[in-house]
Amino acid sequence: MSFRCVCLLLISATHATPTIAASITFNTALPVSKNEFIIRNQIIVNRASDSDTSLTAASLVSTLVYGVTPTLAVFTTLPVTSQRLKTQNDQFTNTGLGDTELLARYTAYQQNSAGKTFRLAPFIGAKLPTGDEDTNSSPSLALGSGSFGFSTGLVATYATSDWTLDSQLAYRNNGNSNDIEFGDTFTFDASLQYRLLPKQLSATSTAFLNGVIELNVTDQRQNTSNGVNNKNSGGTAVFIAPGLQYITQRWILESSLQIPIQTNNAPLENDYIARIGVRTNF
Amino acid sequence: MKKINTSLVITVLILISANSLAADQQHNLRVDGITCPFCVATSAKALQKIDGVNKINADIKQGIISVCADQKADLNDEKLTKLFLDKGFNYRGKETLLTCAIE
Repeated sequence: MSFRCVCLLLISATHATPTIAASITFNTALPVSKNEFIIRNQIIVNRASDSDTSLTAASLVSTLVYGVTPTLAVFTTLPVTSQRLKTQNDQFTNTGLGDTELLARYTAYQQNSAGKTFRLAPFIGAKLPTGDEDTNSSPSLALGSGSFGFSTGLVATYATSDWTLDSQLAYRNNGNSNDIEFGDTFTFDASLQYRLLPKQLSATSTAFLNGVIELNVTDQRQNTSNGVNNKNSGGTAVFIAPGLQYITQRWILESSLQIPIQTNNAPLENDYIARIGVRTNF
Repeated sequence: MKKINTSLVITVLILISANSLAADQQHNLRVDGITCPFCVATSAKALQKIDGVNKINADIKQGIISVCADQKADLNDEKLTKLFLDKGFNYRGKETLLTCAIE
């Protein structure tokens, strides 16, 4: 009976636009209503290393989402990155704009019932080479790929009043630049968000704490140059990412730590990817 | 004395009648797809823009959004269907009570 209690929303006390939980490590599941915006800002620290070299990239990634219609949403993602490469003897840095991502998502199927929803949405995207791919030191410090790319995929969401499961399958053609054909990428991501607090919905529930666990699988073909494969590229990377979301009516504070289970063929192995971010609707 | 009593009764009846006409009704809207208070909030924001809407509650488990509004509030099915579709939900109908029980 306690789970059937009325959740009293004192909406009249505020004109806040709602924020709704969604995955932390991928954006395609972000829910947005018609004529509303979401802005998500995340600070992402990505560290990779081997025995005597480390590469640390700290990025501020801003994503703006707009609901064109109840079923069509458009996304823009813009990263600003500062990278530092440390070797035994030297240290190099590079800071600037990364590649811009554009995406459109169409909710093709939606099945709603009392306290539940299932949504299926294909999406298409494009990557614009707004980041500088030239560096004076190491290719590892390049801020952009120098290539146009496109992506397509499918995102599914099943949500109840207690938990939400988001998952996506995506393919990306990474294009080519400077005689390098970048390998295509296939990704699978899944995110389970479970309400930890309050355990039961009540009249005073104005903020939620969600526990989040996410899985990220990326498989990339090897890059080729003049028909020759680059053995230090491509491969399959698998991450698991525990996280937390603190949700209020105006904003969401979220954080996660992506831990590698399997690393790809890149010369430097991923150590971790840490994220902290704020999301709001308006 | 009898005249005074009659006037008093008539006055009381008029007051009761006026009060009844001015009192809010409660509309229990059945809405599919809401899964959290924040899902409701986006719809509540739109509902509040309708003249005469005063209070809003939600029972997420049951998929019910309760709206207390005066009798001039325009809450017809066509309008509500569009309002909830724009928010990504499905309006399934409503039950109207003569008095508002939302605190």
